[in-house]
Amino acid sequence: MSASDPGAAPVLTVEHLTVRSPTRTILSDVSLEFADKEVTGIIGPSGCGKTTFIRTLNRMIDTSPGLRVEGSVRYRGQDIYGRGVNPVLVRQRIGMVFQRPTVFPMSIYENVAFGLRLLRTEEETVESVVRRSLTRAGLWNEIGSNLDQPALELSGGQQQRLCIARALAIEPKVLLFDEPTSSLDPIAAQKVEELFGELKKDYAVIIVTHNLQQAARVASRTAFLYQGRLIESGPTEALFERPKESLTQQYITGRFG
Amino acid sequence: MALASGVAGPANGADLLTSTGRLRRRLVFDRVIGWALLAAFLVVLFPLFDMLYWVSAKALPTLTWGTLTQNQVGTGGGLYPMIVGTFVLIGIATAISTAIGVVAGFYTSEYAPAPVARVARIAGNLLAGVPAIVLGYFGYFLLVIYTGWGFTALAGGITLGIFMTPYIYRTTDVALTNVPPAQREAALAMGSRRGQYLVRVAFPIAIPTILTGIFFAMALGLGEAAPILYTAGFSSTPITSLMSPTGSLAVAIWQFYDFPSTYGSFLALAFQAAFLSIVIVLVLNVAVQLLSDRYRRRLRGLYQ
Ligand SMILES: Nc1ncnc2c1ncn2[C@@H]1O[C@H](COP(=O)(O)OP(=O)(O)OP(=O)(O)O)[C@@H](O)[C@H]1O
Ligand SMILES: [Mg+2]
Repeated sequence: MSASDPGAAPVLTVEHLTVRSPTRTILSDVSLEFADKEVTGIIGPSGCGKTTFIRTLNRMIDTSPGLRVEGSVRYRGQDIYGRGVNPVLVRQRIGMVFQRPTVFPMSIYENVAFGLRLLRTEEETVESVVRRSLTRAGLWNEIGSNLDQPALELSGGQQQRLCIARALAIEPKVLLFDEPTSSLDPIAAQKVEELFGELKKDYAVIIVTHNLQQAARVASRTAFLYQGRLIESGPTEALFERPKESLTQQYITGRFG
Repeated sequence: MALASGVAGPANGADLLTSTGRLRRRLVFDRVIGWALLAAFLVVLFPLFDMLYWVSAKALPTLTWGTLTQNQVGTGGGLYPMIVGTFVLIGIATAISTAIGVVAGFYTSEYAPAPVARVARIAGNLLAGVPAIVLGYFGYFLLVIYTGWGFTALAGGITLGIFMTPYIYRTTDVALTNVPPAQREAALAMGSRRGQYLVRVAFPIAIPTILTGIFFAMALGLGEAAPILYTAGFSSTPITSLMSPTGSLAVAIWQFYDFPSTYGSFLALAFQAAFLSIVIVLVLNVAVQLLSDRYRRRLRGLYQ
């Protein structure tokens, strides 16, 4: 694992991460670092463990019964699997957006305000944060005047950007995306993709994708997972143009996956 | 036809749009099944309408304003004390069964370890299967004899509440368990604790179903004489306190109908009580439908 920007300590450091189900090993001995203000892509064929991996990064894996996690994931030096760590606080700092949009059956406003209400934020602050979050998710111009509209009435692409706004509202430091555009049509997908360039100015962004072109477009670093192992990681350009491993070479040239 | 222009059709003008052979037979089969289902539906509906007609025909000719406002006097008079008693009993029972049923549903759907939840669900089903008269005797021994209260509206309400609880518990549990898992994932990923997920996300989604369950339990409770017969007792004058016995429509039907037909006006009171019970259930049904429709409208698109 080559070091990221010299001097900048990684936001997340994964070391010897292994995830087992009762019957098999889903991830074995993955070690990887994620730098702040950078987009990292995670690629690999279906079933290689991308979703499992990204869910270990904010302890969403806790909600899958039967999976055991070994190794460590350190957020700014602190192991999120350490003794006494509250997964709720982990998830407030490490936000997540899923493959399919998961808006709540509430108004647009209440969706974005959801996390703030959990934190009992004052209404004045909530209003300005809702506005700022929708703006950052590129939605304010589209739906800023319809905040009382039920979120479920929005298009799929708008719903996905609303989920991003909702995640942004509680000011996480890291944003995890699990194939955020794969359920969207190309135009909606492009609008979501365009956000990553902006988001990386403020957050560490980690994005799982099936789409190699997408990884090449948005990620400055890329990691390739295969059958639960980290095969190779590094600057995206190098990984795509001069892969060190023949498995990587075969995958990016479309020989499997 | 605009589409077809420019496309060379079959030279002999063969009909491509009318089904023949296998496909045609299948369409006919579909239609036959459709009619058969409609017939089955009518067979099911017939007893319902027959019953409605029978009760209305016997009750309406003698139904007056006095039926709703007067006390029962001898074999005549009105059903005012039983109407009030019914509302009081159902009110107490609904409050108790909703509180217990909803909290128990919250618990088993989200918090309970799997084996505990399984046992709780089985227990709920068993309680729903206990004959109402057994619950009635249970209430009698515990709340009438053991407490020394005698027949009271409170004892009746509590016993009826126990009768209604498993239905409300079961619908709450099912409604919460059926919330799309993605909603739970999203709420937890936003940093919700489980309780916050339940209250802020799952419960609002489950409300329409839970309301329907509460209505169903109330409708069943309205029709049951057994749990209140030996707990609330009976009275032909209006209830004065929760610690006094009370009449009710269900017990009125049971009592008045049982007299020899020579007591013509008694029988009429029984039919009027039955008619009023049906009206209350219908009104309740419409109210619950309207209410849960309002909640359901917000959920459009959630289950796609
Ligand atoms: N809760 C679980 N229990 C048991 N096995 C699991 C569980 N979750 C995932 N797996 C298994 O782990 C493997 C990796 O799954 P995962 O969803 O992480 O793959 P993925 O790379 O995200 O695939 P895709 O590209 O199709 O989304 C799969 O074989 C899956 O069956
Ligand atoms: Mg996946």
